[in-house]
This record gives sequence, structure tokens and C-alpha cells, in this order.
Amino acid sequence: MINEMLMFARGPLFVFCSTLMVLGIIRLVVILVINLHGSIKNAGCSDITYRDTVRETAIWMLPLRRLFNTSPVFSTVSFLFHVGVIVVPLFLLEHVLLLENGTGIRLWNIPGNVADTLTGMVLITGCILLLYRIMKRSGRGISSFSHYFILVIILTVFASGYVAASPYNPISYTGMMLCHVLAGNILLVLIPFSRLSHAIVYPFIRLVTLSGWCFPYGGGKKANNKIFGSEQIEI
Amino acid sequence: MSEKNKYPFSSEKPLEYKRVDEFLRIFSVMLESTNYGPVLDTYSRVSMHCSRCGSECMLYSVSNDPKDIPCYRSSLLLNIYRRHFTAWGKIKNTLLGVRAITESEIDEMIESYYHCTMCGRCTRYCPFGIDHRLVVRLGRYILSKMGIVPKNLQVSVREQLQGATGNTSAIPLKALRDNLEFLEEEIEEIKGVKVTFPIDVQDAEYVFFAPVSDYLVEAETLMGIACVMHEAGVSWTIASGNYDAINYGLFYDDGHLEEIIGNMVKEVKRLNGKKILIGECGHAYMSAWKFSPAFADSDEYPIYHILELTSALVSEKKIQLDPTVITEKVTYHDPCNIARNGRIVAQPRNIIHAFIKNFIEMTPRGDDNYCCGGGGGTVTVGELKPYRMDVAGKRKVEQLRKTNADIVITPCANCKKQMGELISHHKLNIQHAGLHDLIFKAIVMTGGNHDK
Repeated sequence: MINEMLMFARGPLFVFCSTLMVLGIIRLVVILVINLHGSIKNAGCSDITYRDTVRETAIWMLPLRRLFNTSPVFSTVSFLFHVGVIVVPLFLLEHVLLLENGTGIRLWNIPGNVADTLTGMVLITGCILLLYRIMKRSGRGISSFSHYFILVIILTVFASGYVAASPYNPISYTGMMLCHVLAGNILLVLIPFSRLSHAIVYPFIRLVTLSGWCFPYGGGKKANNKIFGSEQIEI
Repeated sequence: MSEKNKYPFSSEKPLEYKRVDEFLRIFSVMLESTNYGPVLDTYSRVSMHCSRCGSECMLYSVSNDPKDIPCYRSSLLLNIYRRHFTAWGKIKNTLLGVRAITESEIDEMIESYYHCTMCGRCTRYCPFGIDHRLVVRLGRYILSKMGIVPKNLQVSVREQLQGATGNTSAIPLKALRDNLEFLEEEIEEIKGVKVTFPIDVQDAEYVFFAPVSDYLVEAETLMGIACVMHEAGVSWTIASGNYDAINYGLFYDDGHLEEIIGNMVKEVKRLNGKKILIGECGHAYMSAWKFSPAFADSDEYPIYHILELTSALVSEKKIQLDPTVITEKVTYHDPCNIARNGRIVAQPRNIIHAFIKNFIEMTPRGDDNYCCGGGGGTVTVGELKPYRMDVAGKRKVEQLRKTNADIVITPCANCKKQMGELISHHKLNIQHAGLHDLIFKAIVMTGGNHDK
């Protein structure tokens, strides 16, 4: 029974979730580009500095110089977490082979011991981030259900994958792998439809911000007209 | 039902009933009429609440209240957007009966959005580049259409756009002329040179707009500027039809922002001026520089801050500053609206190094500075003074203490007011002054460069 479930999760369910993820990402990017284009066209955004925007985005993708400004521990933990979360799923040998079997695309893979180290790093740093959200007043104050849920799912995927591949697996390989694949499938779907979409949208965010500061000509009057029925109102 | 008691500041006619319905209706209109939609859509998707902004926010660093973390502040509006204006939110509303906005959420926004000084330091440190100022501004914009706006801001804007005087301090033109005549006499008495404040000169190179409150309370700043112009032989004029650079629309209303800029440009056109020159004011420069190309439908009038011009004149040696006059220990406060984007950071220092020998920098400074605590229009709101003194301005007070300076240069009308109140409230042994106040003391008047 559990074998059949694993086959299903690895097979049709994985294909379904991957397809949903790809379609979701396409939808996300298309909406974003249309919105951005509309915004920039709407309002004379003459001062958008594309080069600075790209530069700033790139700097924050590898924020080595900015880790130690004010919250060095938290920033370093968060940075290491992200490195592991991006590198392991994409370049783990088993995943590379899976992708090759499905699409014929072969990516470079990381050695097993590096993958184990990075996985351990994700588990430790992920737990610290989770504990920060649970234990610290500021963390609790700004966290909602989705923030906890996403972290828990990520930790589940990494922990179950690590244990399933470990010779010291206390539970059956199949059971642990089923847990890994199911949690992984959930994660795939969450990427375009949750806060995880920051992984996709990230390169556009600074441009969105700049376009937000481009207020369209006549926007205030238009708003007044719709709210009060007149462009000119008594202040 | 009296909602008035809940407001942290007095408003003239705040909406008291059906606030939730009205809030949603206005929010919906804003999304249709402005560019905020994509911003909210993107921010609400990606905001991970990593709290990095909190570790850089001067408000949170003092209050330690999670509600002062910028991403929490933004989430107040973003959550409403997600619940009411996204497809998924609407589905959840229908299927799961997700809660609607409550009155207390509106109250929380009112308080939160007027605690924020919109200094932009959080944005500088957000790994995503989320600009919480934009969200705060939109929140204020929506609330203002419900009549919930600090009375002082509203009264000032009304006088500027619909009043008889056309400026925020309600100074009639006759009083302005009298005042300028008095300042001319003062300059002659102190400097021994006849310097004029030109009004309505056609074809001038620069049409000058000061924050109008300077004409009442910052005479030395204006006298310093006049002396620089006279000495360097700059062609400039004050416009009688509009002599106020203040633009509170920047803080809460696109329509006001646009109209005030439009009036400014109209006046420059009337006088056939070539460039717009803004006095020692941060937000006035920011609003004119950033929005005049779009709102005034014209790129033909370049915008300059007075510090840019004076710095250039110092570099070109068109003015001479006596380095022996200012002997006190001096520090410099970077106003957020001119420094955060890195535009005016080097220029004031170029001027300072030309004549002030005992100069000490604050840490952090420049584009990384701490706000004075009175930004975002909050300095005009009397009811917020306790918060401005004990929370918002506390980091600046600590900075001032560390420098042990005698004078803090504060080239911004809003910052000057806040700095004065901070100094008095915290009994600091320091004076605040505009940079042109010190220039006025140190400038060597040789008779002007008119013929050079």
C-alpha cells in the first residue's frame, strides 16, 4: 500500500504539482510584467534607473558585505539557510537524475557529502529561524500562519530526505521517502502561490517599487472624482 | 458613538460611521486610479517579515514594540489588500468566511501610519527592496479621504491651495515684502553691503522657492542665501504669485502633491525663469525634483537644491567664506529627503569643509542617517510631540550627544523645528542652524560678482 502511495506521489502527483508550479510561475511573471508595463506607461517614469536597480538587486542576492551591519547573527543564519534551500534541491544528484529522466536536461550535481553538509545547515538554520519566530516577541509579532507553515514544510522536506537517505533511518525508507515526496510536492505548489513566490518575483521587486513612486498625472483628480463625484473638492 | 476619542491627533471632520465600508470603497478607488495596485500585489505576495527592517528602524530600536517594525506596519494594509482585493482572498472570503476589517484595525492604521516618519531607512536595508514608505503613504491617503488627517496638515494645505495667501503659513504678499525689506536692512547693517531680495524679475536664471516658514522664523538662512546670490552674481528671483516650497501632498495625497507642483511650475513659466531653486528644505526638494517631470508635464525646468548651487559656487570660488569666523565644534544632520537617495550628501560637506575647521560627523550619516524624528509631516502634529521627543527623536539625540558639538547644521525646515524641540526637551547643550545661517556669518562681501 505504502509503496503504491509512493509511486503515486512520485509519479502522477509529482507531475501534477510540477505542472501547477510551472503554470503558476508563468502566470505570476506574466501578471507582473503586464502590471509593471502598465504602471510605467501610465505615469511618466522618466527617472527609473534600471542600471542601479539591477545592481542593487544583484548586491542583495549575495549580500556578503551587508550581513554584518546590525543583526549579523540573524542575517548570517538567514543567508546560509537560503544557500542550502536553493542549492540542494537543484543540484542533489538524485534530483538531477530525476530531472534528466523527465526532461532530458542534465544539470551539474554537487557531491553527496556537500549535499549532506548543506542539508544539515538548512536544518540547523531553519530551526533557528523557526525558534526566532516562536520565542522572540518581535518574531511572534510579525509572523502569521503562513510564515510558520512554509518553514515547517521546508524543514520537513529536508529532514525526511536526509533521514531517508541515511543508513540510520529509524523508519522505513519507503515511509520516509513518501513523507519527503509529499512535502516536496506541497512545496512545489506553494512556490508560485504563497510567500515563497519571492524566489521568483525577487528580481522584479525593486522595479515594482520604483514604478510605485511614479504617480500618474491626474491620478489624484481621478480618485476625487470617483470618491466624491468631483475632481475639485473642498480641502 | 464617538470615534474622535480614538484618534491620536485632531482632525477637522473625521468620518465617524461606516468607516469599514468607506475604507474599502476608497481603497478600491485608489487601486483603480493610481499605480499602487502592482506594488501592493507584489509586496503582499513576497513580504517574508524577516524583520531586517526592524533592526534598522529607529522607532522600533527605541520602542521595542513589534508594532513599530516596518513590515508589521505595512502588513496592516497589505493584509486588507490580500483579503479583499485578490482573487484568492475573495475565494477565501466566500468559502471560509474570512473576517472583514474591524474598526480597531482602522484605528491601528491611523496611529501606526502617523508614527512612521517615512524616513526610508527600512527600505534601504530590506533585502527585497520593499518600500514601506509607499504603503504608509497609501494608508494615509485612504484615511485622508475619510477626513482622517492631522488638522495642521489639512489646514496648511487648504491655505496653500484654496486660501487667499496661497501658502502654508498664510503670509500675505505685503507682509512678505515688508519682511524682505527688513531683512535687506539687516544685511546692510551687519555686512555693510546693500543686498536685495528680488521679486518677480523676468527671465531670471533661478526662481527661488523657500519653505515659507523660513520667512517667519529662519531669517538668517534667507539672509545667507541672499548674500551668496549677491556675491556670486546669480540671477534669481522670488515669485510673488507663489513663494512657498512646502508640499505636504508628498506625505498623504497625490492630488495635493500634483497641484502644488503645478502651481510652482506655472509661476516659473509666468516669469520665464530657467530653473527652479528650492531653499533649505528636504521634502520640498524631494517633491519638486521627483514629481515635477510627471505632474507638471515638463522637464524643461531643472530642479536644484540651494546646497547644490552654493556648493558649486564654493567650488568655482565665486564666493569666499572666512574660515576664522565659525570656531565652534559643528556637526551636520542629513535630512532624509535629500540624503537617503544619495543626491545631496557630498555638497553640504564641500561647503562645510570650505570654512568650518572644527567639524565632526555623526554616525551613521549620509544616506544611512537617522531621521530627526519629525519627518513625514509628523513635526506639524502637536499631539505627536511626546512620541517625537521620546521615541522618534531619541536616536538623533544620542547621536548629537556623542558628537559633543556646539552647533548642529540642519538644512531642512521640518528638521529644524524638530531639532529645536529635541534640544529644548532633552536639555542638550547644542544649537541648531541652517547651513546658510553659518554662511551668512562667514561670507566675505566684496561687492558682488555681477560684473565678473
